[in-house]
Order: sequence, then C-alpha cells, then structure tokens
Amino acid sequence: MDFEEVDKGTHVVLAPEGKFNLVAAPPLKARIDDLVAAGKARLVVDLHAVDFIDSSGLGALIGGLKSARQQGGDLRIAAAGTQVRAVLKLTNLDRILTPYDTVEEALHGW
Amino acid sequence: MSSLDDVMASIIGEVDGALGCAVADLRTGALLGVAHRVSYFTQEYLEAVAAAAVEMFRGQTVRHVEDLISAKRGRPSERLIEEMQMTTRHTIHFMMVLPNHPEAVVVLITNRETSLGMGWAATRRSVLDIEPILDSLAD
Amino acid sequence: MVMPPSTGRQEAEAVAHTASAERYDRFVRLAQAIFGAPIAALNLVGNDQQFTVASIGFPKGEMPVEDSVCRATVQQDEVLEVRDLREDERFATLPSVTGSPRVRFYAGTPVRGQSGQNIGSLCILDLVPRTLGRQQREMLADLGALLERELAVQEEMDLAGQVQQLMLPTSAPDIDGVEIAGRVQPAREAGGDYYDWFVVNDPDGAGKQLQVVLGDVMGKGLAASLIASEVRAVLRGHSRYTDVGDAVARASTTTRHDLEANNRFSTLWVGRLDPLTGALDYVDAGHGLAIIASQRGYRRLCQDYLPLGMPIEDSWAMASDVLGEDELLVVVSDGVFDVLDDSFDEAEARLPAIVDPGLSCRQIVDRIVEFAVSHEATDDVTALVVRRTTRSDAASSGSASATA
Repeated sequence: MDFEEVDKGTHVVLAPEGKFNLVAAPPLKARIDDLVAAGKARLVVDLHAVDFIDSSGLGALIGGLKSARQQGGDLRIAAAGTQVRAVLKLTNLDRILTPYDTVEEALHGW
Repeated sequence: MSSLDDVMASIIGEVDGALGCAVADLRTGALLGVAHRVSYFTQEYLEAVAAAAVEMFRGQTVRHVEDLISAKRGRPSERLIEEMQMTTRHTIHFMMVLPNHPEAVVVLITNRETSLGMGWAATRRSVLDIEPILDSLAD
Repeated sequence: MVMPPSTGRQEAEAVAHTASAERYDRFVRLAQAIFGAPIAALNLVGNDQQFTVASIGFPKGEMPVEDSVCRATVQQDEVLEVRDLREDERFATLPSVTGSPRVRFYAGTPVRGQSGQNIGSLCILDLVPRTLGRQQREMLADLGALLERELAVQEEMDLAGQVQQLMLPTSAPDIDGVEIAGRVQPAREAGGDYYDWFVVNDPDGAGKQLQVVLGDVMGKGLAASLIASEVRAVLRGHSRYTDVGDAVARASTTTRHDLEANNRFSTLWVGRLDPLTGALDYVDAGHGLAIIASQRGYRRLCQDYLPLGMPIEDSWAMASDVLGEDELLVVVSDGVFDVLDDSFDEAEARLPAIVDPGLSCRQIVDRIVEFAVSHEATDDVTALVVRRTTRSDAASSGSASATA
C-alpha cells in the first residue's frame, strides 16, 4: 500500500491508499514510529483512499496513537469511508480513534 | 504422430520469448520442419537461416578445425560440434545436432529476454519429440 | 495424537500427500534454468512408491520405488551423479532408461526432512551423457539446501495448525440441556481465531453453567495463534471463580503486558448460559458479532467495551439476556462479517438459511463457515452456535468439528 506524506510544520498528514491490511500495516506503523522518534508526534491519518481495513490496520493506528501520545502528541483519523467506520464501530475502537469527517476537523487544538 | 511442424509449434508455445523453431538437414540445407511467430520470417529468410546453420556446423573451415584436432588426438576425423549458441542484437539462437540423427539440427530462436538455461532445456528436450519422427521418415 | 514421523520413508509419504506443488515448482524451474536440463524433478521416496511432486519434462505422480533412481540418492548425503545410466548396472534396466524418455544422465541431491532422514531428492536428467563439475554439483546441493529449509518451515506450520486445532474443544460439555457446535477455518495453517467452551459452577451456588468464548487476536498466522493460546488459557483460569465480567477484567490485566509487547489486541465475546432457565450473562470486549436469532428475527448481544490490549483500560461489567428455547446463540468472527461486506442488513438477509429448527448446531456452523470460505474469505473464519435442548430431546448433544 502506498501512502502520501505531507509535513505541515505543526503536524504531519499521512494518506494511505487501498487495503490497509496485514501487508500494508507494518510499513505505515514503521513510518509513524520514525516520525514520532524525530519529534513529529502530531499526526493525522487521512483515510479517504482506504477502501478496506482489518485488525492489522487497526492495530497499526492504535499502536501509532500510543507512540504519539507517549511523546506528548496524538494520532487522529479523518475521512474514514463506510467499511472503515463500520469496523471501528463494531470493535468500539471509535472510542479511541474518533472518526473526524475531514482533516481540518481533526486538527482541532493544534 | 504429429508432423515436425506441429512439434516446432509446440516448442515455441512453451518457451517464454520464443520467436521460431526449425529442424534442418545438415547435408542439404532443407527445412524439415518449421514454426514461427514473426511476420517477416518468410520462407526465403528461413531457408537462408538453415543454410547458415549448415555453414556453421559443417562449413569447410569448421570441418578443417575438427579434422586437425582429431588428428592431434590420434583419432579418426569426426564431427565434434554438438551445440552452438549465437546471440545477435535482437535474438538468441539455440542450435543442437540431434544426438541420434547427426544429419539433422534443431534451431530455436528467441528474443533476448529468454533465460539461457530454459532455452537450452527446451532445445534439449525437443529431442524426445523430434527423433521419433525422423526415425519414421528414415524408414 | 500428533506424532512426528519416525522414519524418512513415512515422512516422505506424509509430505507427498500434503505438499502443494506450486511451492516446489519454483525449485524445479530454477534447477532447469541453472543446468539447462531437459528434465528436472522433486521426488519423495516412500516405502513402496516414489512421488514426483513437482517436475518439468516428466509426469507428476507415482511410480514403484524399484523403478526410481532417487531411491539410491536418499541413501547417501551428497549429490549422486551418473554420467550415463545405461552404463551403471544399478540403473541400466530401469523403465525410464530402456524406454521413454530414455534418460542417460542423472544428478540428484538428497533432501533431508524434519525426521532427520532423507525423504527425497531434487534431481536433473538429460538425454545425453553428461558430467557436472564440482561447481555445478555444489550449486545443485545449494538448491537442495534451500528446498530443505522451505520444507522444514512448511512442516512446522502444518504442525502448529494441527496443534491449534487439537486444542479446540471437541467433545460435548458435561452439562444437560444444551447443544453446541463450533468450527475454525484459519486463513493459514494456524491463526488468531479461536472458540472455547467449558462448564463452570455458578459462584452463587445456583448450579452448573456453560461458558462459551469466541476470541479473535489481531492478525493471522502463527504469531496470532500463540497469543490466542495464551488468552484462551488465561481466561479459562480466571473463569472458575468469578462472574464473566470479572473474569474478562482479570484476563485483560494478566495478558496486558504480552499483548502490548507484541502490539496486538484481542477481541473477546464471553457468555455464560444456564441451560435450565436460559439466563445468559455476557461480556463483549470489542467483538460485536454475537446474536440471538430465531424465526422472529435477531438481536445483538453487544456492549461498548474495547478489545483487550488497548491503551485505555476498561472495567467490564456483564450484561444479561435470556436464550429462549426456540432461539439460537450465534457468535462469529469478523472473517465471516467481511464476506457480508461488514453489513448487518446483509447478515440479516442470510439468517433464514440458518434459523431452521431442523438443522443441528453442527450443520448451522458448517453452513456459516462454508459460506464464508466459498465467498473467498481472506481472514480466519469462526462460528459458534448454541441451542437449548428441551428435556424431551436427547440430553446434551454437543458436537464440535476441529477442521482446517
């Protein structure tokens, strides 16, 4: 899975594309870890181009959120599609990963 | 039993990058069987290729080398060349004398992307299908 | 019981019957390309038969072991090379030498299996006499070593899958008044889905209850299955002495460290049923896929709790419902839900096919799993179905299928 990355100074936006699954999750998680280690702990993951997410994708987002918060930042998600929202709701992970409609809304407070 | 043309066609069907395949008579240059995928491989062109193969395997200068080396080894003169591979700008030629029919040579022509090992494997395996037909032609 | 094979011949036969050819085709193709050999094959040597499991230029299948050359190869530890089979009295009269395809040259490298003995050979053959030099013999041996590694990994995985399946409950629980069935179809040899059932004594002393569990560890394959085994065992341990809410809370605390260290989480659905009254206490830790269904419709047994292994700690309190005598408790993993496009409407449309009182729990479970598999589920697929049996039915008829 490819992902775009845009550093906006105050935060970084990552935009993965396609299936966010067992194969795609590790490289994205690794990139998040690298960004957090480099001091960039305010992250938004724009999910508009993700058509499918499974438990591994969720794990990568949760793991990334943990790393970011440990460094005083946060990881927020935006523009999740139908399947992604359904899975977040099913697992109740929308309690931790609030599905913001847009990247702008996800930036509140930053 | 299928004809040699059918056997040639099946060989180019199984080799990735194959362009053409032929069996030629090393005594006369005659094409005994042929199949190809290239529109400009006309009959005239293929006969020229067969004639070139005859030259390469049985040309005067080549025979002379074989005679000399046989003599140095204290052996009667014999044809020693079994296989030849030729790489050109756009193609690879795998050429092999049929082990049990030394009067015939099989030539497989491929593009430059074909694996050398796979090209040789297919050329060498073609013996299984070609020799029975040559056996029956000789009867 | 799962036992490792005791001899090379037995192991060869076992591998020959489970080997998926595509995996070994690549070695044969590489051998052919490296050596320009018209014939290349991977042969496994059993007691009576030689099994050609991958080959080019030679038919796959079986032949009597007396007719094979590889039977000699497996008896040594280095490459067996024969320049001209016709001139070697061991092989000169073999059918493939005297008849089609009249092979002359052979070189094979023995392949060792998990049993520590040679189980077969990766070999190349030619139609004219030939010799390999030292370097080519080494390359053939190198290919053989790579193949051995591949075989070892595959055998380990198959074994892990068998172990996991054998750990699933297979016999009816020791409790009257209930029929239960479950099945897991992992996406790979082993996986993160599991189900469990066992009898607990009600801590309030009201008698025996049946605890049923469906867990789904994030990910697939061996790593997920190891975590699943731990969660299952820990939950079993904690379930003896407390109610389901407390059992899940304690299991979460106990497994937290290992889940976090592995960056994994596990959803869990745990129910405790009193077959006599139908009272059902349950906890849903981020699973969401448990329903009570009947011909009247369905209702979900879900809560807002997070899965185990999350950065936020929940305090799980159980909820309660009642399983009526004509109702089914159906719990599935998300592998099934994915096939339904993660839609409850889609799932509801399929319910009539399973709420048929004429179907046994076993049949319902099979229908669900086979439906998911036939619709190309890519994840592990699990289904668990429970029904109360009336006193006039046969007493507890539990059944389970632990099939892969």
